[in-house]
Amino acid sequence: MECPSCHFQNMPGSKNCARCRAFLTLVDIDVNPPRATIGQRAIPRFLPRSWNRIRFRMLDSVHAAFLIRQTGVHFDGKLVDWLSLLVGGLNQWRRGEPRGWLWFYSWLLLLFLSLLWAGTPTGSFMLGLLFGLHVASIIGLFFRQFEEFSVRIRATVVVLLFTGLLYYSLLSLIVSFVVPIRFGMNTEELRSGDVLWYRPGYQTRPGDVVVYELPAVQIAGRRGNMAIQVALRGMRVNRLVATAGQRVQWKQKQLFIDDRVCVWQPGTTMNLFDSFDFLVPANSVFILPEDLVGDANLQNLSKLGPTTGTVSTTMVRGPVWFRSYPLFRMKFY
Amino acid sequence: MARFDKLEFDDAEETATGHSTSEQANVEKDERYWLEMAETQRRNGNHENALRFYSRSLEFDKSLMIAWVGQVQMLILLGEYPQACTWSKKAIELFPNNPDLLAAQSQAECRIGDFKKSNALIDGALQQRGESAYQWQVRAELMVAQRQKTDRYCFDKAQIASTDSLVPLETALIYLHYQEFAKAQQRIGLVLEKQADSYYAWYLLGWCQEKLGLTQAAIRSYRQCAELCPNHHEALMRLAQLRSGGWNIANLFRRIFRRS
Repeated sequence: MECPSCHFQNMPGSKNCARCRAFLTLVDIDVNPPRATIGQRAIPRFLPRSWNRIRFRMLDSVHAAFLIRQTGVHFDGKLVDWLSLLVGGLNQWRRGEPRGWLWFYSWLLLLFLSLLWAGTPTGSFMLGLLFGLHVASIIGLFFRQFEEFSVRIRATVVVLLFTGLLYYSLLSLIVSFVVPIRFGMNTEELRSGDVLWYRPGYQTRPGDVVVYELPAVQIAGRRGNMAIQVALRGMRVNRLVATAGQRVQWKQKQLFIDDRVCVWQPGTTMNLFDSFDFLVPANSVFILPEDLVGDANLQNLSKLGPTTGTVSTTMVRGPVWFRSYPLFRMKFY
Repeated sequence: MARFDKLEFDDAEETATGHSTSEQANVEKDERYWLEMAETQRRNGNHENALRFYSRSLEFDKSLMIAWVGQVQMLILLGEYPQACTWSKKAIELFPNNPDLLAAQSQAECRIGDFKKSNALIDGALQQRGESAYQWQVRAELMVAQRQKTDRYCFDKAQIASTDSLVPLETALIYLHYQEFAKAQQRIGLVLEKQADSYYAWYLLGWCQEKLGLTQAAIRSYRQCAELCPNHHEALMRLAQLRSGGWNIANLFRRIFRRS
């Protein structure tokens, strides 16, 4: 009996090949292969091929980007060239391209404008333009070498990913030092729409204008003939006047800290409060509750002076450092 | 209607193969006959029919190794990779360490995306006795799939192992699967040198040329295909699309982003 697989001559009557163990008697074996359903047929064609294509083409794009030095046409690939990619248009400007200066100065201008209007919709728009210009300048740098459409598209995706990552990291770094916020109320010190930059986690001292989270306080009030409940909470910006252990007194429309007239007297809002006299508890500070009253006529507010003004130190985010907007009221604190 | 899907009618098969009834009457329909039919269908790109005929030949002789391998190859060409994998495993159980079956399973695993397993299987296949063109083709496919640059050497080795025109034709199909149109076109050129009347090769050439942006050349190739096989629906459809200018979003984007 000859083995169909290895052609070894086996003894008659053998069930398996003595050399390769192949079956020699293939009587009750189904010869019709399993078939895929319509759904199954669609999945294997599409998924593995696409995944492999994405995987390898992404690698190709990165690989192509790193092989640019060998082609040596538009990008030398020295360390200084790679570093200059961090600034939009700098490479074009350094190489003295006809419109290189326009790329570079446009990027600088947009950077200045996005910082100037940071925290406003215009600032966000400028930041978007800045990012777009940066990406376009990098793509412009590499594109001349990529004549093929698909390579350009892939390179664009790679540049977008890397530049996005760069911007995200830089913005995260900046935000860890200074954060812009837009103020939404009118007080003695600030107006609605002001953009304030505060330093998160910095030490606060009496006299600082601080950003803090107000714990939720429910106060009954009236709006016209309607009885309403006003919930005071969320992020607030007011002046910190006393720290833990200091004595705070409000009498005869004047604020006293440790029996001395306070240098930072509150505005007219504080006139709504009854007189009070208390010690600031441990791990707390007293912040003037100047922006508490909106258009509602609040009841019970007169007795809430110490409650709304006393804030745990953990709720204080940091001191305000700079008011950048509006431009004519720009101020360092 | 699913239970009637697998029904086969003799008339349909005869029409597909192009043999007249009088010729058929004189031929004994044994395993060699069905194997020959399967090969013909395979060369013409009718992989579904080829698969069916391989099964027919196996009904006559279950030890026909070439038919087992052919079945797995057809399942792969039809895009049914998990089924190809299952079937190759079953065949390997019957014929352990058969190099072509190992290569077939390797190809199926490669298409699924398991390159590690695929590499191990093809290494095993090449260590066995008896070198075949198919083993080298699978080795080369793995290289194409993994973006290694030495695939050409392996495909050339496959062509040295067998001078059959089916080898460059299926090499072109592998390249087409990975969208390497220029390389596929080169291999189809080799097929047409040997067998200029292969309408399937003309169709594949047209496809490559179309994808490479050689529209006029693609039209000529499709027309050649349609002349050799007047009922070739795919070629006729592609011809009609190309003649009508074929508007689609991909072309629009390509036009927008194309540099002057």
